[in-house]
Amino acid sequence: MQGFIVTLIFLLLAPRVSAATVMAVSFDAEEMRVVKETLAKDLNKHRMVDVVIRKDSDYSEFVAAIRQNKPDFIALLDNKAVNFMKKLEELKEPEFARIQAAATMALNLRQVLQSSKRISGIAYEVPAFTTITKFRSLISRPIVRVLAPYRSSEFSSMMTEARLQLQKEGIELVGVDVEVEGREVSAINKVVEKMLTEASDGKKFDAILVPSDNIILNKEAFRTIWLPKARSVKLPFLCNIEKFVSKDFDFCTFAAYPDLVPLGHQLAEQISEALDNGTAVADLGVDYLIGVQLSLNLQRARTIELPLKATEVDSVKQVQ
Amino acid sequence: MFDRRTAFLCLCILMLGVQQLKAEEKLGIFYPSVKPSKEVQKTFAEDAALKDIKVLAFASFEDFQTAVTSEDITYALVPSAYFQYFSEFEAIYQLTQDGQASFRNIVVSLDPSWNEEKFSQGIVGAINTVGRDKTKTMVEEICAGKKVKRVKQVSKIADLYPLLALGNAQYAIFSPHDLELVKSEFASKPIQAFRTSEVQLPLIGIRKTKKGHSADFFLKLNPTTLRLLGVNGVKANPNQEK
Repeated sequence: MQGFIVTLIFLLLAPRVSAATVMAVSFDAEEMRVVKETLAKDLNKHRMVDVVIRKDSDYSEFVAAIRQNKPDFIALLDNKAVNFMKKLEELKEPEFARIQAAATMALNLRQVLQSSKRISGIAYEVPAFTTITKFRSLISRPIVRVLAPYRSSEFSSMMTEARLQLQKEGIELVGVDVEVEGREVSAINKVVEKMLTEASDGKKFDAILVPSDNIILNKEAFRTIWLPKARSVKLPFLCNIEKFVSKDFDFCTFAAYPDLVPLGHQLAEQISEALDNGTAVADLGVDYLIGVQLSLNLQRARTIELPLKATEVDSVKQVQ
Repeated sequence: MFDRRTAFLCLCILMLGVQQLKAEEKLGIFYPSVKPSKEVQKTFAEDAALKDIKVLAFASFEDFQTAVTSEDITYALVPSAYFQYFSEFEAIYQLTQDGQASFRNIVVSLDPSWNEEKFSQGIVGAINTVGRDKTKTMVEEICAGKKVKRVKQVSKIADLYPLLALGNAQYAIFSPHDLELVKSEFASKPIQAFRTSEVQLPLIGIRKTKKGHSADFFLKLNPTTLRLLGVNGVKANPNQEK
């Protein structure tokens, strides 16, 4: 009888103890669907709720979704979702005190979430270490110095970390702060043009790391500086956006960009660590993105006479 | 009963049918290595020993498991640990390296202060070979029962070293073969913290429902094909159920 009662109590309590509600907040976008599908598979013992936001969604909608779905944990995909959760954390409303979150597919999360105690995450930027070492493995000449323009107002710590990581690989990442003459677009463009012109002789650097930053790659600079330089300078331009290596763009030689399924696994792993093992989100921090896909523009590689390793090139997506 | 021409035609049709039947047998390979699954699939498919077998290589455990449930995979070439956690296949052949059937993985770090003594305090990077929910148990098992704080999993060997280099994990577990390849690719050299317990090299299993099929063609696999997975021989599994 005692055994029966214990079993009954266990059965009544078990689902509450093990199954949590995870609410995913995202835009209605294909890339985000891939990440959410992976989350749903990996976290299948929990209940998944999908909340889709729009460009004009506001904080009150986010709060209403929380009240309706009563999540234990929130997966935040995109900056807008991250900003909602940051506001919720700042307001310290007792009603939502126990809710924690993990974020990805948002910009500069390592900096944005530096002071957060309730949001962990996976950075969406492909680390410079990954881009450069993956590219290095495709070619048969050494990579020693790489030029990397960046904005110090946003990406200073990211640049410092990247420099240290690459130093151990014998690669010098030469960061150029494009805000050195001011933060206005015209001032930034001026510095970018000067920097790329100086790099034009092709002797000082082995590659140029193109930042995924729409302020540095603003429309004007892209059309009048970046594209013409990439097509005239005999150096590989490395980037983190797949379409930049396409035949139409004819811009970058090589791209390493987020592989969304492993990204979903990484995020699910963090959520599971918090929900199943009780690890505090503050201890999880923001991890670097690990899984990437690689793409190589063969035409551009030939134009700049890159010595490619035939066996390695077969393993990456090739643009003819 | 039949004239010679009809008998010959019947024989041809019968032979075609047998060929067709054999062609339906599939070998699923899931053994993470630094070589891309595309290359593994191509090399195994070109091996004369497997001429009647359709070869499918998978890049991740999830893809392999999906195929196991949705496709009629007859044979599975998988890490030995797979057989401890899943019962669809029975191990019939053991892959070997210079006659040896087992090896010890190497647990490495990039910082000498993350040594064997501190292992339980660090985060361990590992390949997902038995499912995300089972990997931590598997890691603790092969690390002779050492407790693990947390495991971070990747699907590809190529992603294991970046886990360390970027600081997402303090330790990573490599087979000696993969570690040599990683060392040749990166300038910063991983430091051995300790070696794990003995782990069997990969095994080839037959789906239990197909038990009894002759599969001795695996014994004729070319060592060059096998070298892609860091092994060079095949022998009957001495632990096979009778």
